[in-house]
Amino acid sequence: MKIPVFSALSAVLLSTKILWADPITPVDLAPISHTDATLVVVGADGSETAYSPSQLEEFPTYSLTTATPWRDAPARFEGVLLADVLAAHGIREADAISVRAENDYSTVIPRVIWDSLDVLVATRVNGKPHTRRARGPIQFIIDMDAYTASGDTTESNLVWMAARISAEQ
Amino acid sequence: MIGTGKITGRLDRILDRFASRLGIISVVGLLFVICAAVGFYVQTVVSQLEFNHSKFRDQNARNGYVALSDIHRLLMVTQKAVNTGEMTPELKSDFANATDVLFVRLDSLRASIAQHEEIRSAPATINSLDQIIEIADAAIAEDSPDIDLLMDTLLAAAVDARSHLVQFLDDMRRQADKVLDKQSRAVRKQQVVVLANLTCLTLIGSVALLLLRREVLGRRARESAEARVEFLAFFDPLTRLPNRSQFQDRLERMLKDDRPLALLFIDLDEFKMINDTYGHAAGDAVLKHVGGVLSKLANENKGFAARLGGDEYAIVVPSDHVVRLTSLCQRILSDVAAPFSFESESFEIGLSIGLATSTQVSQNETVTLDLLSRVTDFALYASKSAGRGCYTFYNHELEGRYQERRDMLEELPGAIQHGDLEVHLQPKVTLVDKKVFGFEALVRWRRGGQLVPPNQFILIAEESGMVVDIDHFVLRNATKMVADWNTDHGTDFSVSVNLSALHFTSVRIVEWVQDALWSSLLNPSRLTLEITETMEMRDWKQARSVISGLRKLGCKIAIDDFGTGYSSLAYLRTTSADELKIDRSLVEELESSEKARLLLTSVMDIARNLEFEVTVEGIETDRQGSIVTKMGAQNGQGYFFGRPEAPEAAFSAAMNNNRPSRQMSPN
Repeated sequence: MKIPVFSALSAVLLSTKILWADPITPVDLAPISHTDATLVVVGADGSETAYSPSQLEEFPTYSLTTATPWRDAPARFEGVLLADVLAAHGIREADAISVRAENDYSTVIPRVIWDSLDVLVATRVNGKPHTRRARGPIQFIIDMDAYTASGDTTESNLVWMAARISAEQ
Repeated sequence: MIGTGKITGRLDRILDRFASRLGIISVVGLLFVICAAVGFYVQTVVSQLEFNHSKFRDQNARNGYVALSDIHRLLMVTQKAVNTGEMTPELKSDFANATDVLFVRLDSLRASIAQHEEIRSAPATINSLDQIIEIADAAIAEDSPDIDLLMDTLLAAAVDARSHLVQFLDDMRRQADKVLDKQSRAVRKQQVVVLANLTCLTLIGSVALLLLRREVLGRRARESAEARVEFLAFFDPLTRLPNRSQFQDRLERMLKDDRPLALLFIDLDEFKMINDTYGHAAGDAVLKHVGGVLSKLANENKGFAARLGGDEYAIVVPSDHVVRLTSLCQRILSDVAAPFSFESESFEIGLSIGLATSTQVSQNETVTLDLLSRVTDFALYASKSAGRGCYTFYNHELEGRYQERRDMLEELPGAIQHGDLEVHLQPKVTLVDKKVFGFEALVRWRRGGQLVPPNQFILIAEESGMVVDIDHFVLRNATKMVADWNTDHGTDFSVSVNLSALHFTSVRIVEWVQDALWSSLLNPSRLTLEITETMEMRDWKQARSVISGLRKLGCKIAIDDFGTGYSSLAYLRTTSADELKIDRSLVEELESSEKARLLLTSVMDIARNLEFEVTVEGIETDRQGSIVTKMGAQNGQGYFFGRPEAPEAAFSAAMNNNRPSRQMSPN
């Protein structure tokens, strides 16, 4: 009887974000010379705020080691939480956000993604500034295990060369 | 119809096989195989569709289109530098960014191509894009690149890349077409499989439905048969009234409640005649009609009616109130007597009712079903004896009479066997000279030392059928004693023997008469057989055949009791008889009633015209004898000429009578 009960309990616990063995950890980042890049965030009031990678890192910073669809070997990504950035501009509770990349690519990300998963807005890879050729300088990263387990995620959530965020009307 | 029957029979045999254990296992197995095969096929198709979809969703095509855009972006930056005449730091940054974007696009394209099957134009495309990045990277590495040269080089490489990308995109389009074609074929195959599967399931479902229908019909038939059996166990199918079994159960339950009740036994009068004359269909219609009337009246009195069998019914009502019961009996008689017609024939139905209440019976003993039924039977018998068409309440006197009748019935067979029956002879005389020419043989029963006249037991004997044996006894003895007397004394007396109507249903009586004549050696012409027309003789054809057989033996036939009962003119016309015996009822008022004399004169005329010899019965006075002699009667019989006596006495009296000449008194 113990084994099924334990299994069921584990399944319940693993299915919740809070008790997940969270791979994302807070980290303090020393200043670094970043690749030139700008992420504009349009707030709930319509105001636009431009962030360089260094300015973004003024939000609480985190570290996440994971593979990506374009990296077979895991890399250590560092950056800030998308949820924190959105919260700072009053659009965390928006139903969805529209994200545009430097190459004019754009996508819509529903709220369930940043509510249920830790979406890291990465500015560094393996301790170095993120580069465009490595799909930076600003890239949305989700832990690959959580990405695979979730039924809500798609590859379009992992935006690279992110340039602008606004609430989806 | 025969074809349909054959098909149904064949279908039944097939369904029987399906319903067998092997059939069911086979069908379930077949279903399992079909489901497994279809499941496997659907799984395969779904996998194929998913695979195709994944190819269809391949990023290759998009990467190809976006790569064209990225090349264009790089050329735009370069063109801007050409226009400006130098590569400013800002343009250099834009150039580097555009190169990086193209680099990432190439990386993505390379990664997605690697995941899928080989695309023929992919390597050249990637090489051409690589070429552009190499040129761009070389320019970025230089502090002051030759912009015009850079533009020319990039343009040449871009033209090459564009050409390869177009070819690549065509390959991708062909791959997409191929995928779509596969999807369509897979869907069409699935359509066939689904249709085949549905057909199989429909067939199996139809068989299952047929089996289910058979089961349901079979169950209904069983239930119907069970209901029919239950109905037959407790109801009479013709009248739909409770049958004897239910009648007994219900009456017993009511008697246990110890509350007053009345039992009525009801018999139809002359029902046999209706059956024989109009057929059984008419008889059944009458029984149903009477059943309906009785049931309605019983319900009105909070009781129930039952058919006990044949033309016997019963009614039980929870009352011992004499006035109410009398009213019920009168209603029964009047309602049943109301005109009833069946197939354009109108019937007059009569009933005899016997009635007894539990209160009457319980005065003496505990009321049981048997006791109540027995006493009600007495009452019914009394009604029948009283001439039918009436009702009788039970009383103790009735029971006494019934008991006497029952005792006679039980003793009569023994009386025939043990010689307790005696033959007495009453003289028959020629009216002209009053000489005895013969006798009528009459039976007597010496019972317990008393001589019982025939009117007290012949009716019982007729009802029980024993009259046949009695007649046989009389026939044998009377012929023997008269023949012996004639032989011994040189006389030529004749003898008349009564034959019950029951003899006229078979020719056995002819053999009996022949035996009696042979064994007695009586001259056949000295034997007269007296018959009385009754209901039982309505089968004229059979009766005439018997009479003809008797006459062929040389016997005479006399029509007895003419003027009473059922005797009719038609009977006279159709019966080959020699003698007409006029009943005493026509003679009784002969001396006082002109009308009686006129009636008898008319009868005499008829008899004379039909050439019957006439014997008048019941002559008790000389004057009656004179009157009938003047009317033309040849023979007489009655107390005036002699009572029935024991043979010896009768013969002696006859011998004495015939010796001296007796004078009739003048009229």
